[in-house]
Amino acid sequence: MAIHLKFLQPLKILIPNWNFFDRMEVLPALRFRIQGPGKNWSEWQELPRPAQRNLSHFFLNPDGNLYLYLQSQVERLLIEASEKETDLEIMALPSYQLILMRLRADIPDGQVFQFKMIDLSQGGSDLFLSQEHTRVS
Amino acid sequence: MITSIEQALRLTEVLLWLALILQSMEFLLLRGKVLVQGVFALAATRIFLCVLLLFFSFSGFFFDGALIWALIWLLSFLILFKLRGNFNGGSDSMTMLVLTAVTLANLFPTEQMQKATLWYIAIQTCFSYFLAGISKIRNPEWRNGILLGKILRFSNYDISPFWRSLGSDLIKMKWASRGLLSFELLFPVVILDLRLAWIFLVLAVAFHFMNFWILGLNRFVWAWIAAYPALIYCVSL
Repeated sequence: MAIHLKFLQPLKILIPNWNFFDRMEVLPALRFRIQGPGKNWSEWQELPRPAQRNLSHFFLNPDGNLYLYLQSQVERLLIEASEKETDLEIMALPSYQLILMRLRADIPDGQVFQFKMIDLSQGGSDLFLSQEHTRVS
Repeated sequence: MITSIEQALRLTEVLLWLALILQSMEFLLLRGKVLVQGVFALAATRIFLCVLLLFFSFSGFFFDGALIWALIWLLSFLILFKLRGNFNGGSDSMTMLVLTAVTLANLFPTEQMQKATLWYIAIQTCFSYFLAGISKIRNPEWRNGILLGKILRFSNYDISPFWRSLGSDLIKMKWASRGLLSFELLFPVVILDLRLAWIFLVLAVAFHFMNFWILGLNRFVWAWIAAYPALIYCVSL
């Protein structure tokens, strides 16, 4: 049963959901680009991936799990954005804000940047294009 | 062999304790990373409480474990609240589930409540495999192996080139999918017999280890292992 009351939203954490990989119409991935001199955009880039996995990550895999967390935010944004009508509503989504926050950490001050989501199962076709944002400290 | 409620609960607590320590240490190692801001202090406090729990357990001092478990539950909830939901999907759900059960068993230490919490963990563990299997088998792409191949080849998980290339082998994917579906859908038979339960739990550990090795999902292993003593206890009754 969906929880609609806003103040009860955090309690959703306590309701287990045992559906894993049951439906995957799209396999989204995040890409970003930066505007350079002359307002020319860079190529679309991928955020750095965590170091190659080894047995020690069986116990502690912080960077790998952080990467999975970002990926879950990308998937969440794709679902939540489709339920919103305006760009302002989409930009207010926590998943949108978290992705912005993550990208800002890798982008130099004053740079204009943009991100998009692509569908890896369809040869990288575009699923979502963000607004342009400026990195300010 | 797990023969008493006490034994089942203590073993669950020890394994949950380990899962919580590892999860908290991961957050400490991520200090300063933008996505997990604000979680560091909560994770550090959770480690402190886990250490306190260990100290009191072995020191022989009288202490109220229930209060410490309740505080650990609160901190765990706040961590997920701060992260606006799960950090690592189902592993957080299973951790919270076992933690809630252990906390209730400590807060209300009657035999009835302790039994009820162990049964709750056992039933949810069966659900975690069975319902996952049900939702997969409804999708024809799971039945013919196409979706498993897609996940390996295209998904954004950190998957090695070996597993990515294996995703193109549709025959292997079909049999791997059917094996996985059979395992998940048949899991509830563990309730029938203890020997069956042990066989399925060995397979389950192997399954979770494969998920770690292929997809990097290490937290799932520790969270699910913490639920197994309750299942063994309930099947042994």
